[in-house]
Amino acid sequence: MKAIAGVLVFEEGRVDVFGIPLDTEAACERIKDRIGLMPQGLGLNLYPELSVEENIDFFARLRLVPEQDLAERKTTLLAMTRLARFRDRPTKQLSGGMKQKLGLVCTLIHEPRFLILDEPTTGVDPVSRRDFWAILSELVAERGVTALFSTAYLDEASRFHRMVLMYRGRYLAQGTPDEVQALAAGSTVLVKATQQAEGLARLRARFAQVETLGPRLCVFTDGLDPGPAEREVRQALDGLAVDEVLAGEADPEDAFIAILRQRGLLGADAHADIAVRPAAAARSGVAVDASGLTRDFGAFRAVDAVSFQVAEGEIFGLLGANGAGKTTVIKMLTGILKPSAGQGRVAGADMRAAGQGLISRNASATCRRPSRCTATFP
Amino acid sequence: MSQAFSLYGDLSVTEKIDLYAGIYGLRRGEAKTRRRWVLNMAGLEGHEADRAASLPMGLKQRLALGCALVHRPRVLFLDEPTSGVDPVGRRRFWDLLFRLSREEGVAVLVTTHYMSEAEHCDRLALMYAGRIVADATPAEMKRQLEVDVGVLLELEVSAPTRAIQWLRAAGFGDAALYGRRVHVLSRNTGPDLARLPMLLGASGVQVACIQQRPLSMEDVFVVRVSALEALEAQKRQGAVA
Repeated sequence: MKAIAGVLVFEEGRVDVFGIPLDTEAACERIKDRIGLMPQGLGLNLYPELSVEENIDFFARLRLVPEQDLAERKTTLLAMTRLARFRDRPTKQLSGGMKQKLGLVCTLIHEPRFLILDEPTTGVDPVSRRDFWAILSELVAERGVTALFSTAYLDEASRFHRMVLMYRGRYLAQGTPDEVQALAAGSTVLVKATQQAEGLARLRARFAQVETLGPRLCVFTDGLDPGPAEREVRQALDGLAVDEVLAGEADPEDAFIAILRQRGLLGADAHADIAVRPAAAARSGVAVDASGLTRDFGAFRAVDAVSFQVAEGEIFGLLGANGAGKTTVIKMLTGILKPSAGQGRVAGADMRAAGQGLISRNASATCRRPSRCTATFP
Repeated sequence: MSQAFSLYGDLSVTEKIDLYAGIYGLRRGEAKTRRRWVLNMAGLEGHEADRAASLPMGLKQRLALGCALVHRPRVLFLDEPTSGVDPVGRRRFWDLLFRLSREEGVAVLVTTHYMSEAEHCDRLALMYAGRIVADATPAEMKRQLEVDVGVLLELEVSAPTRAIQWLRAAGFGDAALYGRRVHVLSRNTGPDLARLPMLLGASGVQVACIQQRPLSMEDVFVVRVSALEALEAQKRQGAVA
């Protein structure tokens, strides 16, 4: 993407942008007023100490946008991204999703014809991600802007008009999302087997691509339509208690993995070869018990009476938009941050004691018993 | 395992594992055993002498996980562990988490922005503005959303932008564009499947295909959080007025 934007020299090959071959620095300069590049990383091209508006003004003046155009475009773009209310807020205080929207505004302020967006949605919550896509779709549909967009999340692929698949620097395939998906014909079958370990072993013996999804198993069946796929999965699991079998069109990420697998590119990195010992699965103790956890930062309540339990051997997901309080909950449970109110027990110990233990071990490293909870510090 | 695992990038892979073993107070013999376990579990054999910072993203992530596991914890906290990792690396990472939880009974608390990953969890809590607003399995959350807002219909149409404008005007406020396809939530599936192609056709948009799609965790997240945001915006406006 950097080569296409004219900011990275390449050894071989040829790139034309707006009909101009990018073979000299002078040639690269000729396209730069018509392109907008948003580099990888949350808000990395923005100035954290400047306000939202100051960042936009900075980029506009760098791009020599006339002042009367700037005022008008700024109003439109701030309204479009729902950032108008945060005009005066320092950029470092924005959430990840808001930073990415501001990055987009700064990339759009000189009205480029061609947008280069390098992983703009990585680290962004689903609502902000959907916002970002709505804005981009509108720009493409109504202003005829062209966009080159990279992502590691294949569920975004259905948003593209056309796409190229790359793996480890190599080109794999291109086409519409449907065309690319058709390269790995097959279906995805989701199934819940009461004896998950046994089910997994049986399915892995029969199918090349089986994943666990919480309590369920997810099978990609090469070359089969949903009907026959469901029958084969049921057959493989014959004799086990099976419910919630759901067969359908393949998931885009499953198809991507299948393309890599069929071309022998997965190699040793494919699976952590799982041999689940079923005997160990029956546990029922409470590993994490949070009760009324609350944390205030001045007048701002970051976490408000949060209670939940996590059982031993359970995978528990904490979801929420950027800034919803997830990291603060984790910091309290690991003893890094003191709660304003509420309690937490982790592996049977009070979270505050666990934190002190960890810190004292950091300092002296004399304790013989390894701590029971884990936290690594940035 | 925190969001930013960049500390001590100049250490080699084994030095980094040994450092964590020391911090957690493991004895020399056990530290050696656990180092072997971490290298094997994370697929880092052959990379022992590599600088941690020079590893590809997927391996770096697994090294971070290995360091967090060196002292056999009973509970593992992971804050956005897979942000920016490619699909192959992510799958292997989740395979490891699954094994830890099922084989060793480790409790895993994980945060993620990727709803395809939320599907890997046994149970989920959704947070909004510091509070937990839902706590259930992914399947239960999707079932409840279907009860509250209806099913997801996908339309293949000749003019997607016009179709979305028409649908929004007709009361389908959440109509959204996916490439050339349109997604819309419907409470009256049967009638809508029949009448939407006719009504869109009358306004000049040809519907090539309309079908029901299963709701995803992303739908759950977006609908729930958007509704709470709208409520908050209303309150704010009320306060101003």
